[in-house]
Amino acid sequence: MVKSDEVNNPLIEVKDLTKSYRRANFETLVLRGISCEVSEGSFAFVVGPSGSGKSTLLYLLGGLDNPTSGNISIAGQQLTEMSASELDTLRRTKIGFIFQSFNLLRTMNCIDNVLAPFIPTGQAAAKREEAEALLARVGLGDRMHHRPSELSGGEQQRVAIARAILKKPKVILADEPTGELDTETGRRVFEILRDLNKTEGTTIITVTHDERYINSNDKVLRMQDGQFLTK
Amino acid sequence: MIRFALGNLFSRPLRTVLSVLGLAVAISGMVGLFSIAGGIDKVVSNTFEQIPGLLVQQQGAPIPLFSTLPANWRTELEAIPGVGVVDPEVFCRVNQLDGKIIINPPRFAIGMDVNARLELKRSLYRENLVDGRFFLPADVETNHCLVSREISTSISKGVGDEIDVNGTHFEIVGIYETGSMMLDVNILMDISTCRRLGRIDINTVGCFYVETDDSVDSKTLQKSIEDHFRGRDLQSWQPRPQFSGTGNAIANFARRLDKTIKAPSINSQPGGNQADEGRSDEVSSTVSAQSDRSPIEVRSADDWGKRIAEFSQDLNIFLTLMTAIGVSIATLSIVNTMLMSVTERTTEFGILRANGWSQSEIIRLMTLESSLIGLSGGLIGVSVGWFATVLINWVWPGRLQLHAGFTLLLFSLVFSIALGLVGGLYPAWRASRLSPMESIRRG
Ligand SMILES: Nc1ncnc2c1ncn2[C@@H]1O[C@H](COP(=O)(O)OP(=O)(O)OP(=O)(O)O)[C@@H](O)[C@H]1O
Ligand SMILES: [Mg+2]
Repeated sequence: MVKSDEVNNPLIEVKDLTKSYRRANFETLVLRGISCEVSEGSFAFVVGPSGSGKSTLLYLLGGLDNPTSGNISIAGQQLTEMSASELDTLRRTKIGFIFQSFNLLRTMNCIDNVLAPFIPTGQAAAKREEAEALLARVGLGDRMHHRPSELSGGEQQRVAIARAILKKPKVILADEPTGELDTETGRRVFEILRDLNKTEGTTIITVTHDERYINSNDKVLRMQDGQFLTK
Repeated sequence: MIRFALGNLFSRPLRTVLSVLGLAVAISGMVGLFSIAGGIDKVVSNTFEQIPGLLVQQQGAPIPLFSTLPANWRTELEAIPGVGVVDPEVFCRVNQLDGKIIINPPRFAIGMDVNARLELKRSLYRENLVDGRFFLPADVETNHCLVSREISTSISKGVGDEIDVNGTHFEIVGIYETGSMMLDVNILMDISTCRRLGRIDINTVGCFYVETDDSVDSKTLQKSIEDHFRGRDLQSWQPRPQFSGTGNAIANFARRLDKTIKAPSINSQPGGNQADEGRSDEVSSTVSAQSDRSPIEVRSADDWGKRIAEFSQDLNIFLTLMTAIGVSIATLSIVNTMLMSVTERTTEFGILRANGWSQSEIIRLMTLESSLIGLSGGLIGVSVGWFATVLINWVWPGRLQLHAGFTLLLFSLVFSIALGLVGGLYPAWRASRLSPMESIRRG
C-alpha cells in the first residue's frame, strides 16, 4: 500500500524534452520543450488534438525511442543514461504498455500473451498461475486459451491490461486504450485501470480523446503543437 | 521460446512447408550425391581389403584388366627373394552369357593358375565360396567355372548347371560372393581355358598376383620386384581396343582412375624416377631402348586405397559443387521466407520490444524459427535421401551400391540446421533493428 506522504513524490520527471523527426532534409519538431512531473500513484491524462505529439511523448516516457534533447527520469533514473539492456529491463518489469490496438501477438493464446514479457527470461512457467488469476480478474477467466482473433476488441484490451499488471509495474502507459471501443466496453477498461490505481497504487498515464473518462482529481496534461497548454 | 517460434511457423503453414520442402529437396539431393562417393569408398575398401598380396602389372595400366605381361616373367618373379606364390592371371571380357549380350553390369572371364591359387595362404574367391566347391587340380584345362552369386541369380543357374560364355559351354562348379561389385562380376576358370576363350597368346599374361613368403615386408618386396625388371623393354600401356568405347561404368571408372594415378603429384612408386612418371603416355614409344624405368608396376592394397582416396576426393569436390547449387537456392528461400515474416510481423516486434524483449532476444526468436525450418527440412531430407539410397540399392542390387553412412546423415542434418540458422540471421538482424516506436505506429 502506498503511504500518503509518498503520493506526492514525482515518479516521472520530464525536463525540456524535444523530439524532432528528420525526413529528407526536412525537420519536423514534434515535441517543443516539454516539462512536467507525474507523482507516484496518480492517474494522469494526456489530451489534445490529433498530431499534437501525445503518442510521441508517451513512447518517449516508456523508453521506446530516444528524445532529441532533454531528460526523462523514472523513479530517479535518467532514461538517457541507461544502457540498452537496462532499458529492456525497465520495460519488462517497471512499465506496462497498452496501445490503441494490435496489442497482442496473434500466434499466441491469451495466457501466453500475458506471459510474453517473461518468455526470454524463462520465468513464464513460474508466473503462469498468476497470469491466470489476472485474466480472471479482468473477466477473461474462461478465455485463457483463445487466440486474439477469437476475442472482441474490448477483450483484447483487457488481455493487454492483464499483461501490463503481471509485471507489477510502477507505471502503465496507455495510448488511447479505448479508442476503438464502444462507450460501455471503454468504461469497463477504465474501471479496471482505476481499480489498479486504487488498490496497487500503480501510476497510470493515459492518452485519450474522450474526456468523459477524466475524474475531477486526475492530473490532466493538455497538449497542442508539441507543447503543454497549461500546467 | 520454442513453443512461440513453432506457433509463429504454424501460423503460416503453407509458407513454412514450402521452405522446409525446398530445403528437404536440397538436403536429400546432398545425401544422395554423397552416398555415391560413400558407395565407391565402400566398394574399394571392400575389394582391396580382401586382396592382401601384391599385383604385378604393366606400367601405366589403370587396373589389372588393362595389363599385358610376358608369361615367362613368372619364373623370374618366383626367384626373387621373399616371393612365396606367383599366380598368373589372364582376363577377357564376356560379351555373351547364355546367348544374351552383356553390356552393363559387365562380366569378365578370369583365368587363373589353379595350382598356384591353391597354394595361396589367402585366396579371395576360395574364402568367399558360398556354394559348391573351389577349383581342384583336376579342373586344369576343363571348362569348369565359378561364378558370383550375383551372376548366378541373374541367369538363374546354380552349381551343376551349364552356362554359355561367349559361345563356349561351361559347367558351374562353385559360387562365390565377395560383396564387392568390382569382384562379383567375374567368371573364374583355369588359365588355359581362359586363353582359349579370349584367344590370348600363350606367351602373355594379364598380371601376376604375388604373395610374400613373409620373410620380407611387402614394401621391400614391392621395391625389389620393380628393381628386378628395371630397364626391360616393354611398351607402356595403351588402351586395348577391346576395352575402348564400351561405355560401361567400370571402364569409365578405370579411365578416370588412370588419370588420377598418372598425375605426378600423387604418384609414389617405389624406385624413384619421379620426373618421368607424370608423362608415361608420351614417353612410352621413345624411351624403350634406354629406359631405366620399370616396365611394371607393383601395387599393394594400400597403394590402391590411397589412389582411390585421391580419386574420391576429386569426386567429392564435384559433388560439393553440385550440392552447393541446391543448397544455396534452399537458403535463399529461407531468407525470403523469414524476410517476408519480418515485414509482416513488424508490429509484433514492437510489442515484444515494448514488453522488455531485447534486440538479441528478437534475433534469437527469428533464428530459432529459421533453425526449426532447417531442422525439419534436414530431417525430411535426410530420411528421404537415406530411403532413396536403400530403395535404389534394393532395385538394382548388382550395380554400384550407394552408401549413406551415419556420419553423412548426421552431417547433413547438422548442415541443414546451420543453413536455417544462417538464412535467418539477416532477417533477424533486420527485425531487431526496427525502432519499437516505428514498429508499433505502423501497426
Ligand atoms: N516517424 C515520423 N516521422 C516524421 N513525423 C512523425 C513521425 N512520427 C510522428 N510524426 C509526426 O509527429 C506528430 C505527432 O505525432 P503523434 O503520433 O505523437 O500525435 P498524436 O498527438 O498522438 O496524434 P493522434 O491523436 O492522432 O494519435 C505528427 O504530426 C506526426 O505526423
Ligand atoms: Mg497518437
